Amino acid sequence: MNEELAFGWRPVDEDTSSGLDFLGLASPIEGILDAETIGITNATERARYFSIVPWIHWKYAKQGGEGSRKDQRNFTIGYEQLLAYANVASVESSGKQMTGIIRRDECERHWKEQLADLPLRGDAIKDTPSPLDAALYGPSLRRFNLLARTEDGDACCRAGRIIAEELDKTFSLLEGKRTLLTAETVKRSTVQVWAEYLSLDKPIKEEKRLLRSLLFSADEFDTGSIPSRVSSMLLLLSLAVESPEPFTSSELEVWLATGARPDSTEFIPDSRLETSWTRWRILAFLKFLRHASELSFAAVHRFVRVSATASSFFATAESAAQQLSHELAAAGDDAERLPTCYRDLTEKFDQSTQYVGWEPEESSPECMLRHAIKLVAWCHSLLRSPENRPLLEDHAATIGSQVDADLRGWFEQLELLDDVSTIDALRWLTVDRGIARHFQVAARKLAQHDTFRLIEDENGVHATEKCPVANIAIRIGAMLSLMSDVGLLKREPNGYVASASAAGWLKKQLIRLS
Amino acid sequence: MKESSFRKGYGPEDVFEELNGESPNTAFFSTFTFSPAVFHEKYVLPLLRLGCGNIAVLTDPLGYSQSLSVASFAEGIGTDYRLRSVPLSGAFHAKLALIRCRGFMLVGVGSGNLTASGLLTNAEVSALYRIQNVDSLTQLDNLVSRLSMLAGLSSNPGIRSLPIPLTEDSRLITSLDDPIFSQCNFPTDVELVEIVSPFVDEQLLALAYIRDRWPEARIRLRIDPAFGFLNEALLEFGSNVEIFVPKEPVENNGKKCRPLVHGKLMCFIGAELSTVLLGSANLSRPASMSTENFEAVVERSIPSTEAKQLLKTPNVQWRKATREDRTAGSKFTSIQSVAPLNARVSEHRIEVTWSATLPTMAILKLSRRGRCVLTSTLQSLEKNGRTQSASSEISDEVIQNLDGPATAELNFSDGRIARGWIDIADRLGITPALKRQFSLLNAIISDPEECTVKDVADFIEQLQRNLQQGRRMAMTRPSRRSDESDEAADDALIDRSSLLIEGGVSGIDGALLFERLIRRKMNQAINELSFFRSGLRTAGRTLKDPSADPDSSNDQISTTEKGRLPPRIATVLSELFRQLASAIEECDSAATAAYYVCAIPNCIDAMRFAITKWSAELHVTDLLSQNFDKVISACCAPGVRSVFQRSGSLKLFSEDDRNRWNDTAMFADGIAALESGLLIDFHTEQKQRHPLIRDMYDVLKLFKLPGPEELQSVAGALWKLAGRGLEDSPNFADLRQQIETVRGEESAILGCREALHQLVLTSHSGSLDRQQQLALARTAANGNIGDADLLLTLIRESGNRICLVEVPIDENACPKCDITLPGSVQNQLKSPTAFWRCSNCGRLLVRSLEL
Repeated sequence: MNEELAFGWRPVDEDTSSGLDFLGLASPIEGILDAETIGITNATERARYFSIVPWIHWKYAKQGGEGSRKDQRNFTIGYEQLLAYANVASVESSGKQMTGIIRRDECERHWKEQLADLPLRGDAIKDTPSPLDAALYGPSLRRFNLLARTEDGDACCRAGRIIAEELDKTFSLLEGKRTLLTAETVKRSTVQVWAEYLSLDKPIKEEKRLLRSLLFSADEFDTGSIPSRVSSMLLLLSLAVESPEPFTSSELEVWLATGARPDSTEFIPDSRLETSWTRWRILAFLKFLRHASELSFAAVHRFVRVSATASSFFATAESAAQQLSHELAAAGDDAERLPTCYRDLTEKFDQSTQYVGWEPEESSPECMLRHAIKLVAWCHSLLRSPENRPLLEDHAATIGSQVDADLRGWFEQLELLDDVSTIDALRWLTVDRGIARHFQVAARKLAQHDTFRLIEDENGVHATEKCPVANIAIRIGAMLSLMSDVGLLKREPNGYVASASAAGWLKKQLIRLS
Repeated sequence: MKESSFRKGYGPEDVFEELNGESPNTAFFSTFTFSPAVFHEKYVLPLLRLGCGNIAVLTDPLGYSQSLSVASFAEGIGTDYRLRSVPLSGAFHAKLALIRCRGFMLVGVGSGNLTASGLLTNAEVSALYRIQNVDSLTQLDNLVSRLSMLAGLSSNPGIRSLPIPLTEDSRLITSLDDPIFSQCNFPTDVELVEIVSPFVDEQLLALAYIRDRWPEARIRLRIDPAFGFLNEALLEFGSNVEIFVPKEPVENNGKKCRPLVHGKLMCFIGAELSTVLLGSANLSRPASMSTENFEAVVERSIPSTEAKQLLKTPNVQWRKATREDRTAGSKFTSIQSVAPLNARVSEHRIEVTWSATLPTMAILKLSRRGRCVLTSTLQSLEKNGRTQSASSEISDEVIQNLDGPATAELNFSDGRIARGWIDIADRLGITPALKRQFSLLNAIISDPEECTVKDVADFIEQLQRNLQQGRRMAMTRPSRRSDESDEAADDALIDRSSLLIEGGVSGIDGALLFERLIRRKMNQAINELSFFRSGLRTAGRTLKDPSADPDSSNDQISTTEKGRLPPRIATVLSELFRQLASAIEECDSAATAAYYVCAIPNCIDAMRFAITKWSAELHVTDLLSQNFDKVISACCAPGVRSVFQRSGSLKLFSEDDRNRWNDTAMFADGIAALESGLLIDFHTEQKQRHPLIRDMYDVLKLFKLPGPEELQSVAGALWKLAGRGLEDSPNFADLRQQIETVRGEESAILGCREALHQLVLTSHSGSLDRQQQLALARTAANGNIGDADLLLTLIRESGNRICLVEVPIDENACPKCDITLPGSVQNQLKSPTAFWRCSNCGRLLVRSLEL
């Protein structure tokens, strides 16, 4: 017979989150990065975590006797704390800036409290953040074969042992070496002694050599084939060697997109690095095109919010995007106004044109959208040049085709814009590449409670509180930092420069590649 | 769910929990606003996985317009389900879910649209029923017919829609033929009216109706200013009318925690009994007092004490409205007016229907994923009342591009535009099993890196089912539910006209269409996977050891050098190839054999996908050779003279059949795979097998073989799939030449038999000397000296008068004296060069080389 199964108010889904990949454009970039930079992530920016963390685990194993997972964790936490204190002390004494110190906030707070005994272990010390975290160095330590996860805990592998034994030659001479094994606190003065030896900026000479060897090795110190990570770092190094001035990772990404050397002439990579050059150029374009898409969507989002405060509502997100596009097309003075035809916009950008920049000049919806379409036109004009055709023929240019986010797909669509008005191009960017994408991505992520930034309902379209645009990192910053830690680059206040040994190292490694 | 259902609405998950794996025949939804992405995730994918082959959504023109605005990324429209706009003088506003299964229907009624907010975040009311009563089912089927007719999905006008009994105290009321209020049974002694309604009409006519009908009753109206307007007139409506608005919660980290209240609930409370209306109807004249809107509500009679409990809105507290709460409501900026258009692609033709009030000539544009795939001029040929229509041929290339949701647009010379989704009949008409296959495929290809062992195994198992169903498709027109037997009782009423609009390509072409689509998608996924894996392999790593935890995430880093194929995947792959080989062996026509040859590339791709995903090259050599060799034999077995003692299914093809199939891409790919497999066998197998391989190759040679480059590419891929290094890969064009130099087994057997005949004949005449006899005997015995000596001995013992008799393959007795042959002799004679002298009549028996 008939049966009533439900009747009343439906439970409300209260969980929300706000991931930064709201257009689903990150996966092809991350996929290619995983293939090109094995062992390195955006978070693995300090080389000494690849030596000191294995030393901590080696040290634990060398204590002998019996332990437990908990016991091991307790041991390692103490040293993670000590490492953070030492670097905080080092920063204080040197007056230099330092990035990438794990547990910095907590340790800096204790340090500034001027405590004579600083907490190392015990209930007051949290388990995270730890270098072993999956979001930090954990997977990389394992991928470099420094540590391995076993049933009993984290074990130190051969490569880790080699580095650890080298480090221990110095560390074993330091003050408090015995008490630090189990102590719940450490004296401030002891930290100051260790600061000289644990500073992330100052690896010991032989340690630096081993770390350099590790970063440029295959498995465990030159025992295997050359991974793409090595080619990637050598490519960046060859660009750095060509730059007489300090440069930033952002500038390097622009060189990749334009295919130019730091002096704006064409960069021709060593033949052994051509594949990496192509892949990294593809990555740079995917980054800029992703940014343009997210910026255009954020412009519509802001437009909906701004309009709502003026009691102006839109039936659909598409109608809001169209209204914004029309207002933008008519806005600004003659110099600022966008041309009527999209083609005229792309013709403004030939190879010699300066990069349009990452951030828009202002945060108004019009300014954001104008910047986004200029960024698209800049990429388009670069991609359509005959010299860049090989990029589109590379395997990596098809990565992301499943989600219509591959570079070749981008280019196909950009070419279709050639005959359309700027208004239509804006519609394509905001609606086809923005809103439509977002709705699909958000719906797919519903299981993870991702949030719709724009919500269409019977009362029209509404925007959520915020729509932050990600500053997309493609691991170049991490690689430059690592190479700086192992002495191939030097950190300057306004970027990196190649060290004196960089050119020689590059040459030697290129020979090794062949 | 059943225990806690009272005073709780339902969500999509509850529907599928209630279905409990049952495969619905049809699923029919109505909504006002519409988000294709959420609907696809929440309803379409689960329905497809259950094998529901007929899904339709009717929406207001606003919802239809919303769907078109996200056309570049929408999924499933026109391929997995049909979407139709229903223009009315008011709003097409009802939110119904009517899911018809064998013997029952799930009926969902509510206030939430098929949008993210409607399905998840708003405060919405809803009710769900399982209807088994035959009378109710008949009325519900009639309601579906009526709505289908409104949407142009059916020509069945149905009958007048009356309130449909759902349970003893509940009825489904729609405004199709009469206003909602006029069909309700209200208590005679209404003393309190509690209402939650996001919208009210501007003239407050519905509120006035209630006040005038029950002048003594108090009216408490809850309204969310985020939706409807709240003006002075409403606040001052009368002393017995109280207006409430939600209390705004304190902001917590920038988030406001209360949901928007979109639920519509009206409780007419008497002293003991109350009437509750729950559903889509607002307290407005078009919704409740007219038939301008299409609305649907559940009317339920319950004790008054329970009715009051229903007013507890989740996460919302109410307060009395003040003048500060006044709003003007939302006044939308107008949206671009686009005329509706219906389009349908079937095989190589597109049919377009648009309003007769628009011009007759237009530029037609077909778009898929935001890319224009066709532009052409279209002229209407036929006017039919209020519509006109035209059709046009479309090329194979365009068809290839329409592999997912696509839109058609007509641009008229006066600047007006008509736009709509294309129903791709070839996709909509496919069997539920194939739809399920595509949903599984999409789950894999949308994220090949992260998909689980279960996803891949399910997909491969579905390929196995396709092999069974493909045979049926190849032979017959698809049935409505091809996974049902004819005897299966199906009590669901079928709208006959739906059989006309289902359409779809039938027969072998239909089957191949999907093999092609599957192949294209698989190749994309393999392409991505191989890119990612190449980077990992260079580092001498695999992502994870699947045997440890087959469904774990990728953060499990294995230190093993190479991956292993998960056992379940290895099993289902073996089973897939076993079934393919056995299906090919059982073929009884060229059409079915052609279908299976076309299926070969997809089976190989499934193996390639798995091997690439789990980086398992070095562990699969046996998997490929053992499994694919069976398929090669099933296709190319040269005949009864061979050790197979049978003919492969390729021998079923006449010359006409071969000419027909040679130019079919999937078939050509299948033949290329077979040739590659044979050449690899030729290269890797011992020389003794070469004659047999040559015979199989001769069978294959009757078909059009790939060019040298394509051969190298296909064979190279197969070579790599077998775990062999590309550096060891032979030149397959050279192998082709080498195989031609080998003498086939069949030819050798015929030579042996010819020599035997000559030996027997010459023994009668005595024309040969002993040496010549011996040479002939050795040839007859295929070079076996012992057998040759035995043969000569038998001839001599018979006084050179021996008779040679060929025993038919299915015979177990001597054809001349009829004495049954011993089992061991029967076995011995299976060899085409073996002989035996009949112990009864003395004749020399050999196996016939013909059927």
